[in-house]
Amino acid sequence: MSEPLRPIDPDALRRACPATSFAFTSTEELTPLDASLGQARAVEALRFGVAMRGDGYNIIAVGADATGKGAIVRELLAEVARDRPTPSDYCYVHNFEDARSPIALELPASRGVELTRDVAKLIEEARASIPAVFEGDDYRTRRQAIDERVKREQEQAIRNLRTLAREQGIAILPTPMGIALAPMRDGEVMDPEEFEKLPVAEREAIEEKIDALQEPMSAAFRAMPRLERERREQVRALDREFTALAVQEPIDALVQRYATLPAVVRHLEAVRADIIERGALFLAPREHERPEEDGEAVDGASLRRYEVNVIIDHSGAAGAPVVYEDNPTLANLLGRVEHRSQLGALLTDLTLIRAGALHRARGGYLVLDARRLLREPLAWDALKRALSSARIRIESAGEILNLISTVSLEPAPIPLEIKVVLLGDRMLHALLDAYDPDVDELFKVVADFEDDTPRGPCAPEEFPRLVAALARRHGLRPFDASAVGRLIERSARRAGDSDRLSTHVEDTTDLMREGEHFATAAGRAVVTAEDIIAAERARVHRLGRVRERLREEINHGAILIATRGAVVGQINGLAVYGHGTVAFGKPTRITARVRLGRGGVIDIEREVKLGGPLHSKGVLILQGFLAARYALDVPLTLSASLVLEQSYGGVEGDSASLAEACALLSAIAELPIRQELAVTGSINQRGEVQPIGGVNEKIEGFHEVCVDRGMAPGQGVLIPPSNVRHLMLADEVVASARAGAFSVFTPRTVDEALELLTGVPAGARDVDGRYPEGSFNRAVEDRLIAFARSAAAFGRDDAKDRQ
Amino acid sequence: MTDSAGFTVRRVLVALDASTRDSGGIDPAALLAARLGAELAGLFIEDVNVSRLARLPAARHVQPGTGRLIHVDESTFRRELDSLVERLRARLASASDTAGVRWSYQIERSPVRAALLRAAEEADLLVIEVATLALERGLPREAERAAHACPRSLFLVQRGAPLDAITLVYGLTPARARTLEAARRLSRAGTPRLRVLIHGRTADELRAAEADLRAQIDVSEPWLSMIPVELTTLEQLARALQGLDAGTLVIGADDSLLCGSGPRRLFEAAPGNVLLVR
Repeated sequence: MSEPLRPIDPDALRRACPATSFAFTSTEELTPLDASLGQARAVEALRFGVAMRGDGYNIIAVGADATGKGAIVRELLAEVARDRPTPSDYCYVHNFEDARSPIALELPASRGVELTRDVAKLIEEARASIPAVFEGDDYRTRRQAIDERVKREQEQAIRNLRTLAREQGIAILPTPMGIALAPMRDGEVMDPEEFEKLPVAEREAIEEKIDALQEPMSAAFRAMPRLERERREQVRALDREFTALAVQEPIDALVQRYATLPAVVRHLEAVRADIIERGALFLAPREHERPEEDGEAVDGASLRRYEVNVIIDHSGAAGAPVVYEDNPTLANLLGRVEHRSQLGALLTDLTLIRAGALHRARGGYLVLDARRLLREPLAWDALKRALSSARIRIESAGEILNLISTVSLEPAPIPLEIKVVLLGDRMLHALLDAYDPDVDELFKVVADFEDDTPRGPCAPEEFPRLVAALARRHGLRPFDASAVGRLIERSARRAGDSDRLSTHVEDTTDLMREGEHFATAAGRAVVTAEDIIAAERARVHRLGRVRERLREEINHGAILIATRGAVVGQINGLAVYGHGTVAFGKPTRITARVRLGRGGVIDIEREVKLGGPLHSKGVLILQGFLAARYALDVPLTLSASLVLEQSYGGVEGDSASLAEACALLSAIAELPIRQELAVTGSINQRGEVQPIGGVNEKIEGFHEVCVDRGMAPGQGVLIPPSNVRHLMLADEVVASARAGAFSVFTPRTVDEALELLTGVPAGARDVDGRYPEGSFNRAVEDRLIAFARSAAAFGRDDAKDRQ
Repeated sequence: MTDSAGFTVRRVLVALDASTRDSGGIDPAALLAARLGAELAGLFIEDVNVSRLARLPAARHVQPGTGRLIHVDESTFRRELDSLVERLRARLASASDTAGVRWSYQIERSPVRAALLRAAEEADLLVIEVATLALERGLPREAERAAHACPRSLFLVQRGAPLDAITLVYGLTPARARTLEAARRLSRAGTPRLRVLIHGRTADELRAAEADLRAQIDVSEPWLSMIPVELTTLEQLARALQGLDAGTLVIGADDSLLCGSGPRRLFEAAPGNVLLVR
């Protein structure tokens, strides 16, 4: 037997951070950390991405939730945005050539609102000045003159016709069929009988006279529409002249005011031309001027056409905008064109165009949660289209899917210069990377946030300053050195590594808040380790319902776990249970049964489909180990079964393979295993022990059962040696270890584990290739050879019977 | 000295003829009858000249639009005339029912002027739409003659002009009480509003007219507004009305402004309908 395996030093079970290791008393004395903890690489990537010009240098920030990446991104963007120029305002104005496509006007920051006010004032003035000129004597006189002239001409034409007809003895009369001509006698229409009595020549002469009126009659009638048309044109020209006069001064003043903005000047001139053309709009009664009342459609003519809709307004802003859109729907990203319902019809106009997050963030930064973005129909594609085309084009889902074909507005696209930062986890990034070829082109910078960071010395310098910063940021009372030490230990435990600290700032913040709660309850001005421990225990208790129930089941004997004695083919494995944010360990009995046969090792978990692929892999590795190690010159004639007893849920992972190997070999060798020990670790085909996850929870789970049953000598746990650095065990476990009541062993091989578990030397093959007599391995090999011989004997008897 | 007799109208007569288009004054006449509590009589005058014309082989119709002359077909002419008569009867019935007034309809074959005068004798108020009886714009000659000779009140309707505002021209005339009463009844307690354009040749006369009006009516009523203005001629009245949304003008036939001017001039001066009160 080799040198007995010794338990590891209790100091290695938890890398403590005592208050004495700090030079400060409370975090009040510290300069708060103004940078993030352990995210230098990600921050560097962010800074690079933000500074890079050129297409596609958008950023995707990946990392686990609660690492504070959102806060880091926002803080960094706010810092960078302060020094960037404030982008332009944008306004939508009426397109007088195509009412369906409002024009986007770019103006210097804060001048959008100014233009809106100016144009509103102009229209208000026009509403007063245009009716005034139309009601003035000048207009009335000239309008009357036009009407009178045309009227006179028309009447004169009729009078001429009448005179001409009367001279010829012909009457002109109105009839139901229009105007008629008939011969007159003594001022009355000639009696038909009298006409018949006239000589033929005279009758013909009368008819000739009437027919002779054809030409002047036709000429007069042709002239009527022309006269009316001329009158209308003259009136319109007059209206234009007076309208132009009414608005000349205010529009000229505006043109001068915006002289440096050619697009605005062009629009103002278009407004002038339109007002002149549609001066009548300004003569309508005020109560009927709003489109919602007069039922104006998209291309209708109302005063609303002159309004300016400031869609991007940076009035009073300093620097570039930083926008976080937490509900990135299609409409919230691209903006939308709203409608108002009127008498069952949906109407819209340019004042109902609403900005989206892309508009607000234009010229600055937009932060989006990738998961939320991808959950919103059409939003991801819309964002990519906007980034690829560098334009914001407002589209509704109905338009994109061709569900709606009714007339609506198509606002002119707005140029887009923006830096988008997507926040997501690694899985999401990997999926996007794998399935969306656009991601690499549009999000060229990946800021990869660390889940943890090296702890460095026992009492790192930065973490206490982080605690100071968090306390200040969240308005918490100061934390003393013991509390900071406890938080560091907790952070290392969260990282699952005594040499690293978790970067999950939110978890630390929550624990600080909860610790402060207990400090308040205890009337302490400074939060201490006692408060942090109280918070930890309260959290464990709050979330411990399932854990407690399982513990009770073990204590009542419903779940069979032995912590004393020795049993053949039975071992205590260790499993980690997790639900939600809770994870805890629990021992699980693993048993093995063997007999002569050719079935090999049957993994019952796999057979009933309760075992995951990694667990099955572990069992197959175990088979490989077994077949390659024992009875190399005889066939393996063994049927064995392995099971995790009382396991009714799924089993995943290969961390039970060391325990399974020991149970199986114990069953073959018929040598009992000590039940006061529990085992975790995976093995390879050479029988070497490899690391596993959840080592702290597993050890604590078995320790808990041992404590509940009253500690017995020799109790402890076997773990892989490479897991020692992950140990950040609970205080209770460390205390038991210090008291010599509980041990943690680190076997490097299956042999070392078997020796500890059975007290029998494992044994190594001698020069003859045989294991020494009395060794564990000899017992295994002898049993396997015996199985093979029995099988051979059965084979011979069987052949005889057949003969 | 004022005429203390009230403005009582029992029968409103609307004159129609072969030139009538659309309602031909039927709708405003029905509304007027309803406001005055009168019955409505429609009179279609089939001018003998028009009847003769249909039988004359030499008669020609002027084709609308082109002015081309075409032969008159007697049967077509008669059919069109009968159709018009029936259309106007139906329109009269419908407008009267809507206004809630009694109605009657009569067809008379005679020269227009004689028929109008006879009808005016039988009615308290004669309604003529300007387009009716007309070939030219403005007040038709026959209507003008009838208006001159008509002993009763006359309502001249501009085609399409609504009864949505009433402007009373008030001066110190003998018939001013009747005129005021007519305007008040048209306005029906403020719907539509009644505007009173008080006139006088001098400031003193104007003040007197205003005082006279105040003595007859409570001028503080919110639906009533007064505009005192010095006027001596119909042209001045026309200019004064231009600045107002005058609507229907109510004026006494004995108003000094009408001295020397006929209904034609008044009608040309007024922007809308005119009620000439006798």
